[in-house]
Amino acid sequence: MYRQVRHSWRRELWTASPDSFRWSVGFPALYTSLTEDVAIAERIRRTGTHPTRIVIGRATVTVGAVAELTTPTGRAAAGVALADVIGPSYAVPQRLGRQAYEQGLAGLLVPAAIIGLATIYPTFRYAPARGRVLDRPMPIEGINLVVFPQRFGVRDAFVPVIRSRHVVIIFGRPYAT
Amino acid sequence: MKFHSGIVTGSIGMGVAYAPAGVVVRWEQLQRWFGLTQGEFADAIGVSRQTVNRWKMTGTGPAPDSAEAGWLALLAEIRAIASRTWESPQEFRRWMRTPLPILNMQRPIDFFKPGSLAMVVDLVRAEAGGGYS
Repeated sequence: MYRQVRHSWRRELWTASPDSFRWSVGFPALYTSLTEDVAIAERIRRTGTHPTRIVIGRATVTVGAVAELTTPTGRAAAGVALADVIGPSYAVPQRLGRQAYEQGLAGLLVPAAIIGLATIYPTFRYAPARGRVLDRPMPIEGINLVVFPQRFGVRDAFVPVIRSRHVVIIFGRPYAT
Repeated sequence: MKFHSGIVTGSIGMGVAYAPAGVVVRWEQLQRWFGLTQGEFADAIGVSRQTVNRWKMTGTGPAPDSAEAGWLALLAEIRAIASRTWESPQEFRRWMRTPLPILNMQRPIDFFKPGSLAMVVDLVRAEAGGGYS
């Protein structure tokens, strides 16, 4: 899994935050994505064309019990629709997150709320501190893993592979006018 | 993994807001830090430009426990989080005026209004905490 944070928060790359976000309210959660491009897309939703210096880390995680909400079957079992979990309201995602946390699950696999982003920015620029500048296609969909470290069991594991040395400037690139 | 705690903004007084660590912030300092025009600043805390002008001329500010003092405290909270998160105040000001997909291509500055300042706090906090929104 991949996670990015602003450069100024690089020491907190793998720190779960107790603040309330889409899937968590009142308990610590670590928001990650299954691919690097989706992690970056999540950033570009909030920074647009503004060049932003970030660090990107990769980790392997082994968790036995997570809620699966990326498939229609998984969402049907939870009694929700796709629009409920990627829409502007956080009411349903936060309720599901709290339920999962209270049931002792170690996290949630959820669809990334990035649908439509690629129509605004078909590509994003990826400019590493060292190496080639690349324009990469914006993903049209993706999967996030929201981890609840306090719910890790004895068999669950979290191993950062790349810590916080990977400095990149990213920004969304709109269609040329 | 470890956890970090959220940022808390303290109480408010005459024309000032207590940012984290008890630092007193005057309204003029906030206006300057955000790079807001007098009109933008007045809109952000729900008063008229004339009121801001009067505060400026008399060296005063919103009364303690007034609604405006509450909005001032939210501005102080945004500044406190942004100072730790953006690389400079200039970077933050540029971001404030950038259309963002998460805001339906509106700019954060468009939400510097009493009814939506709390949403800007959440947005800035997500930048700090690395949470998805």
